[in-house]
Amino acid sequence: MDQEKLRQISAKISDGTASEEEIAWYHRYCVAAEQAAMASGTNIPDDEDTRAEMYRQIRRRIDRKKTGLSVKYRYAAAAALTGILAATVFLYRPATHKDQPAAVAAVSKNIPAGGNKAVLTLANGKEIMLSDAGAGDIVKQAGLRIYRTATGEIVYEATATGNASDTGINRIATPRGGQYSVVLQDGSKVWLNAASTLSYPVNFSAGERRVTLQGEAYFEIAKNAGRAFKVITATQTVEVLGTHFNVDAYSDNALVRTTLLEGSVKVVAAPGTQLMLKPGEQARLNNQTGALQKSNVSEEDVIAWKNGYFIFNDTWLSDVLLQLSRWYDVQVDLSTVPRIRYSGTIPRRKTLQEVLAMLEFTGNRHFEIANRTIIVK
Amino acid sequence: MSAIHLYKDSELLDLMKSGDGAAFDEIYQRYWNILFKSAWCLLQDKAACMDVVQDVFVWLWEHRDHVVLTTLRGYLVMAVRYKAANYLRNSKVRAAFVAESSATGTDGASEEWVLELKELKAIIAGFTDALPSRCREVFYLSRHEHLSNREIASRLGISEKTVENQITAALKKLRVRLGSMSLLM
Repeated sequence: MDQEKLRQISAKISDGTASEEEIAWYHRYCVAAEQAAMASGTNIPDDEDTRAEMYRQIRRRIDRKKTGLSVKYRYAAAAALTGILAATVFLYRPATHKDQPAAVAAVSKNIPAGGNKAVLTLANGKEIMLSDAGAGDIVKQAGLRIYRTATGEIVYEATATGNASDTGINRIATPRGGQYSVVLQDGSKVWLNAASTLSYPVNFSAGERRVTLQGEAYFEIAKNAGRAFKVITATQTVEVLGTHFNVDAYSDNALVRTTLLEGSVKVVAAPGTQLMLKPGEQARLNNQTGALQKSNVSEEDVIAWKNGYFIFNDTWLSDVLLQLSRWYDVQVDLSTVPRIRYSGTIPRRKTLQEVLAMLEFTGNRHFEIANRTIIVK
Repeated sequence: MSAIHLYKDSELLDLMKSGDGAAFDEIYQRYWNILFKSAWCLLQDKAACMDVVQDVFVWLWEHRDHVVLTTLRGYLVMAVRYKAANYLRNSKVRAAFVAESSATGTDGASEEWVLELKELKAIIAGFTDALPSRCREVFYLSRHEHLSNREIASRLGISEKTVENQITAALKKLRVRLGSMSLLM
């Protein structure tokens, strides 16, 4: 047996660079090895302990990828892979030029990640700028207190005193490059992605809870069997009693995507066009044709934005760039974007240059930024 | 799902594709021993064999949506052979039992042999085809045609620096994948 030949061919097999002949040689070798081993009556340690231990390890590895921890872990691997972020995995640091591939380094100014930013419009038309600064009360009136926290959240809280009679409509709007969350008066929490608007009454009516959405939001709706919660977007209505789901209804997307994580929801596109979703299912409404379909998706991918990550999973480059354009407040010319797909996990706190450098690393495409516009080369 | 052991492989596979963990468990029960034996014949090292079998099952679960196969058994055994190559390349495990003659003997005669070979090729492609084509070409010329960076650069009309970068990129990517994480591919 030529050990050196086996070594060389194994290496090529492993790297994916073996020729047809080499694969056939390796395959022959494996079959012969099996026959020889069986003939020799080797003692195989395939006992119950081995079975159980391997099963435990497999479960651990699969389960780890489902938890929040895994996202960091996967990111760590991605960072090690790109080699541009080695020591700064969990630290924010603006990229320096020498860390960047040439195309991206050509840009002098880093475009930072978005942050907690929004504009709250009260029923009387008054506008309040929201950011991480200035925690405290915004409104205190009969039966209601509205306050903001230091972590990008405003809270509507019913108070014991007075009647909760105000049914005026409030609106919270995030700019491009902004995100914010709001706890509604019924205790439901809504996370708004960039360039999104949510309108809702200060106090919900007795019959139903109804909000209007443009853009993307993740909802954790407080259970209330007697009062349906409805999310109205331009082309569909999502109806729930108490559950967790994400609605992606950006007007520049071809599809409205509604993804259920918990409970059940009904998606109504038009009279007679509706779907019930089970957890893990996503309804896709084609804005052009009106067709409504569902399929299974990875929940982790869908709400990655809320957890501070971009997760791309065979995502078309055009979708990748649209997401980046909203979070970094830049433009993108989609007419010149090639039909290729990307997969990977990238933290949203990275600068745009860092993100593009990671994308460049994974494919043949180069990206440039000019006049706050991403150009694909 | 109490009678899951009565399901056929193809039915289990469909159930697993829809995210059914019990179906995955049943597949493990059916095949862990066969796979461990296959790995043992090649590696004769318990820790290495356990790693290989674990990798294959984790891979199966994570890629359940994309798995295309003829028979589950053939697919899994070929995946073990592919994974084992990464241990054989390092020669840490002794490759016993086999004489050179047996590895060059008759082949292609049986239908099973041909099918298995096809499966093995598909698996190698599935595990490794993520390299961008230019990167792959550069890597191939470097490692298998043994051309120097300068020769590759002049043949492909690119700079030596680019050649170097592509090779580094390929190596990094391969290393990550061999750690059974397929990221940013």
